[in-house]
Amino acid sequence: MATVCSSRADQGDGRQVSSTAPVVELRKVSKTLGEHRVLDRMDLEVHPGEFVSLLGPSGCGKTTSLRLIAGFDHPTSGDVYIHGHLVNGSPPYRRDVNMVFQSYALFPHLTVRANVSFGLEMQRLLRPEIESRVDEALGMVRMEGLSERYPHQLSGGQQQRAALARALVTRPAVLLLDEPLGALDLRLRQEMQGELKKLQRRLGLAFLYVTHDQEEALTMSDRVAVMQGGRILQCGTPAEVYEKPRTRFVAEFVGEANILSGRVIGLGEGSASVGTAGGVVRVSDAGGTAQTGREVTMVLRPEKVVLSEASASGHDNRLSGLVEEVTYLGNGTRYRVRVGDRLALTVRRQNAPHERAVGLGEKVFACFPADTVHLLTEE
Amino acid sequence: MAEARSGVAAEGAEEAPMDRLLRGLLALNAVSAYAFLYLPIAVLILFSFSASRYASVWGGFSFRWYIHLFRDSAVRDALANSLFIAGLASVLATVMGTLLALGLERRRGHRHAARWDAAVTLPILIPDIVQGISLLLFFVLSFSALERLLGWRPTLGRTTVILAHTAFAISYVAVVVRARLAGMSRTLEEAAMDLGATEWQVLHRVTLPLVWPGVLGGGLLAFTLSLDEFVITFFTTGPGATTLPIQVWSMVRRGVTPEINALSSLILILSIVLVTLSLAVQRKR
Ligand SMILES: Nc1ncnc2c1ncn2[C@@H]1O[C@H](COP(=O)(O)OP(=O)(O)O)[C@@H](O)[C@H]1O
Ligand SMILES: [Mg+2]
Repeated sequence: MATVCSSRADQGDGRQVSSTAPVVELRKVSKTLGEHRVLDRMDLEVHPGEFVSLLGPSGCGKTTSLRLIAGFDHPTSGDVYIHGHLVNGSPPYRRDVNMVFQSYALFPHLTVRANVSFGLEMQRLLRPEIESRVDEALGMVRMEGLSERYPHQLSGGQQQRAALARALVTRPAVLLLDEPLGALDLRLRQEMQGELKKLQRRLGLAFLYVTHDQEEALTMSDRVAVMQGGRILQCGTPAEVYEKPRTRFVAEFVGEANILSGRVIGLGEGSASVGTAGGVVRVSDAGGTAQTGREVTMVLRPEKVVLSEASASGHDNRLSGLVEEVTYLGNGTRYRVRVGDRLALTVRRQNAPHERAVGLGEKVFACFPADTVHLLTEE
Repeated sequence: MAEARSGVAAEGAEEAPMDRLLRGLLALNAVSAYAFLYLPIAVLILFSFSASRYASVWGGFSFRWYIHLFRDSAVRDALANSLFIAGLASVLATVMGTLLALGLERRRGHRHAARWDAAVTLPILIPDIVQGISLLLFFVLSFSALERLLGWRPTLGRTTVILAHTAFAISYVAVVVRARLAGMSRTLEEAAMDLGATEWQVLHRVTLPLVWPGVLGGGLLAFTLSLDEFVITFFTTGPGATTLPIQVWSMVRRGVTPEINALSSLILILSIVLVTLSLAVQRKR
């Protein structure tokens, strides 16, 4: 049931191979706070230079996982490894990881420069080295000019950069980021997403990045771990998670999804026919999971569907329906097409040139190839 | 436009007589409340500058009683005692109260944390006289125990007053420092530890610098309270440990003179300055 989140196929004793050894590894980590089981046998690996996102709704245990890795809390059961060493009971100051807090947690009584040099001073480095590394870190986040300011004299975005510099400067094995852009407005957030990603690539640093924003997770990560109720439901590349969600929750949390359910009424070669509320839908099934008569659930992404007038052919699936809702989105349009009494499809279309606008109440065909319908394997 | 203006005028004219009465009563009450609070004090200060030999007779403006006061060696001794006692007691109370506040902060969210919190605040509400008597009893019993153990019996004096003042001031310091700590996020301490600071380094590099205004404010408050304290001092003091309030009291027993007005005025001014200072440093960011 529990998903092992690893980028390698072999999950045996690869930990001893130093080149691919994870910098951070959680093994069957559970955490109970009060009566509440916040984490439930969670497995996770972060490899050197990798950008891994923990994606999930508020309260699913993302912050708690970071806190266990940073050492602010300790697991109720299970093991936390950093650089292959078991660190279960060791205090935060002995762990080679740094955290960027959602609230930034800059020291209000210290200037930006003193904030950034804090970690280096704790390492008892010599003054000249501290100075040059602080300058370098401030340069990376483009804060050179503001180094003598106090946190309260900075804007939200600047505080964010200062917090980032403070965490980067000690060159930890992995940077833990807890919704670091959550407090910024949209424009700034998008700008910072790009900068963060660039910085991460340039430094070759591993990031464990917490977010509840699926778009952010998809665009920035090498791997995304989708969490719910203290467990990792699925972990994989953004494309895997988006195109081949394992559960309904993942499908609906990562992007928009049409959920089609029905009973298998026929099997073809590598495909199956499913009777749904909107008619028979053909779905490719390379894995051969479908059996005749079985109830199945399928996912169809709104942008895979093409709306066409009556006679367009050459599609595996053609469901006739009525447009009952049109939402203009600027760069696209979202349609709600009723294809059956108990089924309406969400369809997304780019506002491309030569696209004929489809109007409310119009009769259309929703067409999509069989291989864009994804059969859920779990639950 | 014109209509709108006349509408406004009409509204103003329509104010109910009862509303005006209520406003008048509230204003009257405010004036008398402030008069209650400050008139006696103003009179005291005024009469401290009276040249008359009688405390309640105005005999023209003069510094006579202030000069008299500074020549009075009993008053000078009492002042020295008071400053010494307040100084030591406030330092002791500040150290203990601050550490107590830090300890309580750490227990926040644990079992019974709220009760321990309340137990720190409670002494503030215990009547002075009860605290005075209980401290006296405690000292006397301790003295007897010491006598039995060491064959030496201490007596009431400056030490007991200092201990007594420390005891009641701890609560005040702890409350003030707690308030400051509550405004400081635990995340800051975690951030410091995350960057490699041990518990001690966190305390001296982050926690103390941030709660410092609370510590200083609490200390100044403790100093002021000790300086003004009468009831508890009365029960725990002994020969050679007369504080200013005790001195005032013993002078009053011999009859109220304008010298007492002068002394009281000075104590008042000193207290106001100290409390203002305490509040000012507490508000520092
Ligand atoms: N001290 C605590 N006691 C009990 N439950 C807690 C405590 N702290 C957090 N929780 C619960 O743990 C769950 C996970 O919290 P968190 O890791 O902060 O979630 P996320 O960061 O994903 O929003 C939440 O349901 C929260 O209510
Ligand atoms: Mg969180």
